[in-house]
Amino acid sequence: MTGFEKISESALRCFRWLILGDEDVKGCNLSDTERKIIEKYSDVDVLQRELDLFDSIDNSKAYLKFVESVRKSARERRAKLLRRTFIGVSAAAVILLLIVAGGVFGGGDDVTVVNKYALAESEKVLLITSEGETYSTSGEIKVEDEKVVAEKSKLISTERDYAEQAKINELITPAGVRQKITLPDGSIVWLNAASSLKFPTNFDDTARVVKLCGEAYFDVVKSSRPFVVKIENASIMVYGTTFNISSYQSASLSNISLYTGSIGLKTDRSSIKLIPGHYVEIDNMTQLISDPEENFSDSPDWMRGRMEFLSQPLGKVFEVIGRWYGVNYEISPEIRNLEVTIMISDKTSLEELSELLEMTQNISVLNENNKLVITKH
Amino acid sequence: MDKKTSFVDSVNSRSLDAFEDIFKLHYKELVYFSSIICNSIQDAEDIVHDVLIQLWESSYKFENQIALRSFLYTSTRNKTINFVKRYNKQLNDISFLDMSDSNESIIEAITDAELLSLINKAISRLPAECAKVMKLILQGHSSAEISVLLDLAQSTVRAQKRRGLLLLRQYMPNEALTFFIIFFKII
Repeated sequence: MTGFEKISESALRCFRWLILGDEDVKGCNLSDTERKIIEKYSDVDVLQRELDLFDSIDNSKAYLKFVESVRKSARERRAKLLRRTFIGVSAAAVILLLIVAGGVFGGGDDVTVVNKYALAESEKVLLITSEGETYSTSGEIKVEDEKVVAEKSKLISTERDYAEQAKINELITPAGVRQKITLPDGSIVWLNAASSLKFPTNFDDTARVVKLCGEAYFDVVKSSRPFVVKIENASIMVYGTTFNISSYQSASLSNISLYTGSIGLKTDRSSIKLIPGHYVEIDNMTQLISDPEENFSDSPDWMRGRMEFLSQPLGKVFEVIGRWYGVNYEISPEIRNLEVTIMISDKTSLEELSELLEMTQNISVLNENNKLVITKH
Repeated sequence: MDKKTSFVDSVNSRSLDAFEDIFKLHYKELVYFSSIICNSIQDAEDIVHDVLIQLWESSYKFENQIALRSFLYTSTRNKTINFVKRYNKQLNDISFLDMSDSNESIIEAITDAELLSLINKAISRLPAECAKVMKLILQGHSSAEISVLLDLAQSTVRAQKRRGLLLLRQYMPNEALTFFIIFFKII
């Protein structure tokens, strides 16, 4: 509409005439429109009636209705996108889907599909034995009588690239899947998504040593032989305890949280003894260990099927979300450090999560071919 | 001036906060304007809801706030006329059907809505006591009547009236062309 400025000026002149009794305005020539309106509102009854009517228009209620509509159509759009993503589900994913249908959910189970929306992209848990055989598996894994017993597993190949580690088995979880394993001494490890654990078929007499890449929760059986977890640049000495280690290669910090018992922590640069209910962080670059800080829960969030982020940068949040849901993502650089606070559980769908983020932050989350594209709104 | 640009920018990037501001700043006058044409506040509310949803889903970008407000009024007019035609509703005045930009009835209706919006915003910015007095003055009451209604001394009423007028005047820029400053002062 051309001449909108003119209309605004007219309204202002009427205002000055009617409300302020402005002599300057009264002196100048009014347009027909202005004269008509001033005439109309010179009748105070009319002005009062119309002002009351105007003020009764409820803009906050209207805004809520607007938000509701916007949410609804965003939900419908995303559901459409997700349906499209599901068309190409592979046979392997179908097998995993059956497990979900069987109700395998929650931290203590043998294998947990973290989120059903992760299935389209996820692979299966891989077990590479010391004999050099690779199995895909979806059941309980135990080491008994110097043998690795894996239920519901399928031999994939018998090739092995690294002969020098032939005595060591390796368990690998893909993004979106967690796996429980019972070690030869009876200690239990819950391996979180996108992680690997190397373990021997039999522990030797001096120490029980495993190597972790990624995140795991350990429930270690008490024994005179120390239990040692090696991570990228540190070793954790354990005597009989429960603790969590998060040491992903993509992250700049490793986190070690102790829940019961006691552990000693050693890097090339420093060492520390941790008391229950505390955690430390190791800078993966400098290998320095932070001062212990108090930890306010008795098990890691992911073991209880939940994730909590308190004022965490978006980039860090998505590092975890990517593994949790098994999705790739791309974040615009300008919002990577945006601080967000969200709580999700393994019942939260990727769709709900995207919606939650969109509603609470000024960002938009789009699912493009099972890759989340996060941009500033 | 930065604030004004960033408001339009955030409307352009479809930020929900910016749309909340649109509802705060422009919703009432758009509904009022639409109701002048279609004779019903209720219908007008549905129409403006559709206008804003359509804007949200579109990719229109605006250069400044004037362009945005022109757009809002234009699409509200078009949607209202379409609504009246489709549902055989009663038009307030046949002259609204003229779709040219210089349609006097439309211009008058927008001026009307803008004026009420100005008065409404101006009063809502006054201190509470002062706003009470000004509202009664606008309703045509004399100082004597107001002093009885609000149980105030007549001198107090006169002082509040003077204060109100001074505040309104401060709130009004001298030049009509800087009119829009008001709007981003409110934001």
